[in-house]
Amino acid sequence: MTRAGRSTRIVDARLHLLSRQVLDDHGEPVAVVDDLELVAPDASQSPAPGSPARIGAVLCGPSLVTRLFGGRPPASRRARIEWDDVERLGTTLELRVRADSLDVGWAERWVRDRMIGRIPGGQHDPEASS
Amino acid sequence: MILSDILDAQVLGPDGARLGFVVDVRFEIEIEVEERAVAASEDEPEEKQEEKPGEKSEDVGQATLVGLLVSPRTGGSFLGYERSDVRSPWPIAHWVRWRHRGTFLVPWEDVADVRDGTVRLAAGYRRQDPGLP
Repeated sequence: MTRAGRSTRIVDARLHLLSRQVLDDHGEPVAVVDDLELVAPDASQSPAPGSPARIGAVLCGPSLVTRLFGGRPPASRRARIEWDDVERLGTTLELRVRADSLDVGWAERWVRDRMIGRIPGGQHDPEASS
Repeated sequence: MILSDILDAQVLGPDGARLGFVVDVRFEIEIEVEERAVAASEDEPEEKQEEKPGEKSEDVGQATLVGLLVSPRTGGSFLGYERSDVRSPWPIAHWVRWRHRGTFLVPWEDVADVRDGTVRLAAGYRRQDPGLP
């Protein structure tokens, strides 16, 4: 038997969301929450101040340099994870999708496939059972 | 608009008076709770099977912007102390609370403008309790 219900939870962005680890549906680390994109309820545009707004996406990207020296990475360098892909919110953000389907890890995947994978033995998972 | 446009922004009243800085942004998240009954074991008596709690799963839904937390002083780290019942370690909790005394929550509907690191509040804006429920 299945019972379903709906409730709400109040969270503060800095306290509960920012800098949290993002995990994919297999528990693999994907990124950390660097910023949040706010959209109008229909997600068609940026919300006007004072009008209803919701989180449209989690933004991740290279933020180390800007944290040290100030400023903000350009929008083109930030990877988006749709808020609809977030399944659970606790000490981490758990996604309902696989990390490989997201743009956020493309650099890591590129290095894995094009560089590490070409080294003899580079396609062998040392932690896999033989 | 992204969160960084708002966080740490200077907050001005409708008359241009400085009210403080945005130290945090509050959201209300819809949670869909689903409870599935655990598959009953054949070995257990029937009355025990009925007492078993089900498996609970919580799915995150939409996250609606509720308001801005405004601290009259600098937007430095508050560690969550001024908004919860956490009292330890006492010296840090006491110092953070003292530093952020006067913090209030402004509903997002009462924000008139967000521009260039400044948030301007609408006339008749409300000051609400910043405590987390």
